[in-house]
Amino acid sequence: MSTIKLLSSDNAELAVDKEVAERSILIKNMLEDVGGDMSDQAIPIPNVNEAVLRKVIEWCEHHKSDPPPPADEDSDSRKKSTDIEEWDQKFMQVDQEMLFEIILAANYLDIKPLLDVGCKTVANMIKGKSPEEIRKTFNIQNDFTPEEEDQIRRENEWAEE
Amino acid sequence: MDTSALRIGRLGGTGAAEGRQTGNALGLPLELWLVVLGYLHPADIKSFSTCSRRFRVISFEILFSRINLSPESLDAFENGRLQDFRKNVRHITFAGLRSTKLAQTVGLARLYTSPKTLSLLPNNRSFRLPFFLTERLGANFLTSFVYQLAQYHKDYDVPDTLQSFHVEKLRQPALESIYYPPDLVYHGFMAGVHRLRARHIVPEVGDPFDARVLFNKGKSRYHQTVYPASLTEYSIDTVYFALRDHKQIPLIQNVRLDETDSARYFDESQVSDLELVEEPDPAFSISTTHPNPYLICFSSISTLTKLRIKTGKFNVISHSEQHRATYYNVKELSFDNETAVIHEHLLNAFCQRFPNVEDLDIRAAVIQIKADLRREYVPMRDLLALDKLKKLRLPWPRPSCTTRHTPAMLFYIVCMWLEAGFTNLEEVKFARNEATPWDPAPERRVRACKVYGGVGNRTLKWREEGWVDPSGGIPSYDGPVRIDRTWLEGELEDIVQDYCW
Repeated sequence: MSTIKLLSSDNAELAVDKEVAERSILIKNMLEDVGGDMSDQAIPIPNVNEAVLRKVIEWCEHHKSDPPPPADEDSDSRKKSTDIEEWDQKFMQVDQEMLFEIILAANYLDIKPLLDVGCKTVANMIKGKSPEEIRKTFNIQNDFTPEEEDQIRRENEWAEE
Repeated sequence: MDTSALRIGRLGGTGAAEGRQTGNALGLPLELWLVVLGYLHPADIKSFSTCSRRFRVISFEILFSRINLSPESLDAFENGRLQDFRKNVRHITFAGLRSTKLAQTVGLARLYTSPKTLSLLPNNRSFRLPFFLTERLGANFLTSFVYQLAQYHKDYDVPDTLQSFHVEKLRQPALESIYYPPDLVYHGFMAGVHRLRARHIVPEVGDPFDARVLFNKGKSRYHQTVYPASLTEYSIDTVYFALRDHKQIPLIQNVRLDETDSARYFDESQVSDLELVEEPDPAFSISTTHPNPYLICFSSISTLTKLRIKTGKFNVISHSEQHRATYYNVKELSFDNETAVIHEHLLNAFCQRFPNVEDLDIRAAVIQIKADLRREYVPMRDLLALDKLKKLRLPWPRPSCTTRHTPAMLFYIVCMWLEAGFTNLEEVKFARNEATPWDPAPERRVRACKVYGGVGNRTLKWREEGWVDPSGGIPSYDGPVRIDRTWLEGELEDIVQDYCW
């Protein structure tokens, strides 16, 4: 099995099985474009630092033999479930900074299943919470004026639950 | 969700201007937040949207994909802050049609179904129409409403792309005035009120929400509306409705309708002589007969996958074979009428007309099951034809003179089905509702029981009658209580002893 090297944004070189790295559509396409052997040259991943890249590779290792995700699923958001398999749940038990970094990296590297797991994890952090609890979770400030809050209350009645 | 053409609302704020700031909630770009929000229930999206300006801007894309249409929200879409989000609307609930003030309700209905309103929200795929009117007015009102919607598609040559249509008759009027006990509402008092109001508003409203139309006592007013034609989800209440494929050619030439066979299939183009039989005093008499006009709903066999029937006045059982369409694509079927008695022939009709149903949910007071366990379980022979069935919910079977159905007995019945070839069956639930006139297992006061299928893994769970305190303590008379929803599990032998056979 051939190995390739990835170069993180902070110039760390990581060796990965080609098969594992190809969970990333970005890398897969890149390797296809180059056509030849990349074993002597590291592929730069300028948006992802070493710690995050290691984490992403860990996920890819575990999921290397997963079947490819269905091409185009139902876009009806109401039917989507936020169930996450156990291994992924454990994998996502990281601090918030890392979680968001993983999501951004999965998006950049085009690893849809990982992106979905990340987004589901964030969704689960919001689910069933009051606005105040959500603010606390993400550490954000309520920056509405009283007038705006009034308007929001009115507008929210227009949205169906 | 089309994320290629993202627009930000006009709330201003800190939104899009931010630079790349990774590692916290604000660092996630809009399109990724939209993926997150895609996993959330609208109620959660609402909470999210009230957190901060940035979150509000993010949620605007999705928040108003399902809307309550009211004069205020309509104005916001027309001239106000929601102008940019018109094309995001996928579902409309018509709000405010629950008023006991008829003139107001009719006025709103006219506003909602006007071409101007409908063309404002071109990508809508789903309607929900909750309303409250008396039985008599309700059917007229609904028919007018659907007629108007259909007319829009016809007159303006807009393709009918509606996928989901839900009609809900509210059981109780909005409490603007005094609360009237439901039986009073139905049998006189409210009818009188509506009559007075109806007379009062006649000059104010025009066709087709014309009061004269709404209160038409005359003959032959019915609408046959070829709308909506390509639904995948359907639920309907209140009126007579007959399901039929819109491509099917009707055969009936002469139709005479009265209350007993009013739901028979007919089609305007083929009917040469139509007469609706009137009641002696159709105005607002206290009567159990059903009102005109009739709404014949067309739906395509090829698209319909989910059907919910709430009205007792529907025609799934056609007496003439040639009109018995088979809905091969319906996967979810629910019949929800708490006072109905499910007879064998109805079950039979369901089985024949929806042969591929996977989730069958029948909520009714009683299911008539003739045979007891020791003989063959008769209605289930029909159910056995449904070989795709995964989930089944039935009312608690009626006891015969020799048998009372205990949970253990029902468990054995389900086991028998599983052995008889219901290979896909995953879960069967028997439940009784308030209208069930007897106690299925008095000593245990069992409310519902559930059997999980599957080879070698059959389990029985049941739920007992009772109330619990939401905070976990012992419920008190004046404190908050809710129905105990815990499913109990136990040693099966223990229960089997209840029933010696």
